[in-house]
Amino acid sequence: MQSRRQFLRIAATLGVAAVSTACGATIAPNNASQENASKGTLRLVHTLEWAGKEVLDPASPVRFFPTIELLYNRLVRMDESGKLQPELAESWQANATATEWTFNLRKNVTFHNDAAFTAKDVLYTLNNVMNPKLESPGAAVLAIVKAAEVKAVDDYTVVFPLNQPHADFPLLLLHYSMYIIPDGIGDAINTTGIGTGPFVLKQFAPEGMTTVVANPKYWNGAPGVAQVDVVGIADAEGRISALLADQVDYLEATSPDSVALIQQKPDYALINLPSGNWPVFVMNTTEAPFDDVRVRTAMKLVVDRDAMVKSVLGGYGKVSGDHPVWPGDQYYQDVPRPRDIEKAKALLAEAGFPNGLEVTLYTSDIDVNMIPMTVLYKEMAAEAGITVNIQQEAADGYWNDIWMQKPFCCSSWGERTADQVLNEVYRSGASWNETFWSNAEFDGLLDQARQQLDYAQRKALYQQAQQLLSDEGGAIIPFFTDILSVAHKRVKNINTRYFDYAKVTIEAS
Amino acid sequence: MVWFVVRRVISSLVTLMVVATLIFVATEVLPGDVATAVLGREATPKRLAELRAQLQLDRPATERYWDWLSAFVQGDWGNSLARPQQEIRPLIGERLRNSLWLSSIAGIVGIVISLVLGVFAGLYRNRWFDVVVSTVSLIGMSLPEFVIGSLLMLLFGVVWALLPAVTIVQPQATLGELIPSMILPSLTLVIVMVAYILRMVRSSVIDVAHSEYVQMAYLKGVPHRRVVWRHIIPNALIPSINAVALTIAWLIGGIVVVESVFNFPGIGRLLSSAVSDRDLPLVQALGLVGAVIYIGINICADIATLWLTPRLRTQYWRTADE
Repeated sequence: MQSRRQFLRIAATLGVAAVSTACGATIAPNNASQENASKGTLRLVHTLEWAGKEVLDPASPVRFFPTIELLYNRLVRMDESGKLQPELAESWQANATATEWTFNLRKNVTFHNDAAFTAKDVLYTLNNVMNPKLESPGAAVLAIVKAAEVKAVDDYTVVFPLNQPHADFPLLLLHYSMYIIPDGIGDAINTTGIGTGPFVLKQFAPEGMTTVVANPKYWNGAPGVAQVDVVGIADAEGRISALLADQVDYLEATSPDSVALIQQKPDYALINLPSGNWPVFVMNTTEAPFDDVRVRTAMKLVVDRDAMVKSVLGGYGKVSGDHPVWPGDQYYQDVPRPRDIEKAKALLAEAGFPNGLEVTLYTSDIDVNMIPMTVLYKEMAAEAGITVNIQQEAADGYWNDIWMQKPFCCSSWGERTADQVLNEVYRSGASWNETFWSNAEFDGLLDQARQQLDYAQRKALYQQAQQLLSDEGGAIIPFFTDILSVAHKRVKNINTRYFDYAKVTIEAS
Repeated sequence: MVWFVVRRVISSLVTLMVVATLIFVATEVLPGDVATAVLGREATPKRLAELRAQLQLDRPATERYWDWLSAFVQGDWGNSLARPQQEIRPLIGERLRNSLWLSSIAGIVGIVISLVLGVFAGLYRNRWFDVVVSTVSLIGMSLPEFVIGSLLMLLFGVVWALLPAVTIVQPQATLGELIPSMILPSLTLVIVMVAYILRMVRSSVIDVAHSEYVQMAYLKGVPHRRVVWRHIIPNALIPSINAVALTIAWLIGGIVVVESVFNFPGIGRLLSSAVSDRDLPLVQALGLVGAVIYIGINICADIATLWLTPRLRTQYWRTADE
């Protein structure tokens, strides 16, 4: 349980966490039947990720995740096909060089305290995210915005000037720190949770029961359920017990171990959703023998990816081709990388290792998948004459003493969009560039893509970058993991990737 | 008698000092320091230095030890690391209340049941009652708390759905709100605890029943019932006091596991989350609170034994008078 918690925590601090990605808001067209009053109580559980110090400010590093999208809205939202849709913004457009973005805001939206939503609130939210004292995880993501120059043209128009061109700037506004809070709320946001969202806070108690109730004045129509309770249970087994004892209705991101248990229960549905979370074997491309691209390619070719998905993930995952853009991303490039032992051997011989190679692979139980995939990799590599010595390290201090210190080690990341992940982890000189890979052509492709306002051409540039990274980079990424969630069958509209809590309903049993 | 108590209290204070030192040293020698553990992957040298300064890790350990201990004795337990706004003392206070309720209920029920069953098992040695009780208690003894807890949760929470499987109320909840959630955790503790005391009582009843003074009483024609009540039970229960004390002290460790399994908001759950969050001030405070309770219970047990045993009592009276 411990490693799971730590993993989630790391994923969360790094960006869009496993949990976070599974709950992007989706809003169905406004023509849904409005006569149905909100009814029933949806009971959720959360992992007490921050051990009770959670606050309701969505931009805080210790934000209380389960209710963020119940209480607040963002300017934009993601739909099921991975494309952006309007939420509190009705439309947006860039200037010709993609350095300035204008957002037109939705009118007649009110906060839970009856204040009207206007451009001032957007400016306030952004300033809150950029406040260095808060140390918001969103600050780095939005660093591209010239925060001091963002201006409200009128009550319903906001202009964001950028430091450099970015054709996909609106995607950055999906970050959970950009849930809109009211102008001037100050520290009160931490306990009041005043937003424009479908639910209004009734009681906030992260270690006990947090309760939100339906917002009858929600701009997109009253939500399907009358109340949502969120109970904090730190222990993973405890959460499953609570589900099976019918104390909660929905459990997000459970472990594959519990699948068999759930499948015996006819009242519960297992929801298996692909995600962009990825563990990885990291080769330092500046250190021998990994400074030779032939060695790197050989190390990639020994992996039987289907077998890894099957035995490490029990089948709950998708094969990857050594780049971190997941199949659900709009810019995804499919790079097949079938196992080829002969070619791997030939490449090693060419690189000066005709009698094989001996390397040490550092691993830890910091992510549940790391140790099983390490053991499997050792066996797969042996067939190509590569001897992998496994060095298991304590989870404590792993990120400090092993990661980016040892030439060959395991790492793990949460899902990110193509632009974010390629820039954060693989651009030359990026502080999280764990492979120390530096390729001017790759950096150039990313720059061009950001300036390219034409979708098809931009997509082609991002795809070239992925292909290049896959062929020459220092990452061996065997798979993306699925997120396994469980819901009671009486709960409806909860089984998709970007479901909207406002549309969830409970059937009377 | 007074002297004995004073001496025990003084030696306990010394023990407590040693425990405090050990707790401090143990949390110091953990791999890496708190700052690297807290920051993890975001540990840039600048942020590490800032956090170390904030936690005063840049000061010598001896100095920090002295400050910590003297502040602790004065009742200033500092603030929790993982919850910057939260003072430790009220935090522990409210959890301690819940844990004390849980362990007192479990303790009282468990002790009564085990004494009664133990005495009967000892008196009816090798009869069917004894065989059943001894076998069942052996099973209870050999299963760890979390297995028993999970079994009870499965039966009462999931299969029959009679009681809440895990606690979903606030740490600040009233006793009335907590009671339904306390039944399964305390039942788990009772099952494990009863086994230990019961076996102790049983064997001491058997010993006493075979002693010369009990034989003598029978030979003198004292009725069986009177022998049991006047001679066997009082003498058999004295050795059990220490078993009871040890079991209550064990309860302090047992609730860590049981509270985690049942998500019960007491000091046990607080301790396990403090450990996983590297919240060292909280771990240290909880460690000391645990030690105080443990030592306190042992003093009470010693005094009770002394008071109930005329032989020991007079012996200590005499040394005190001399």
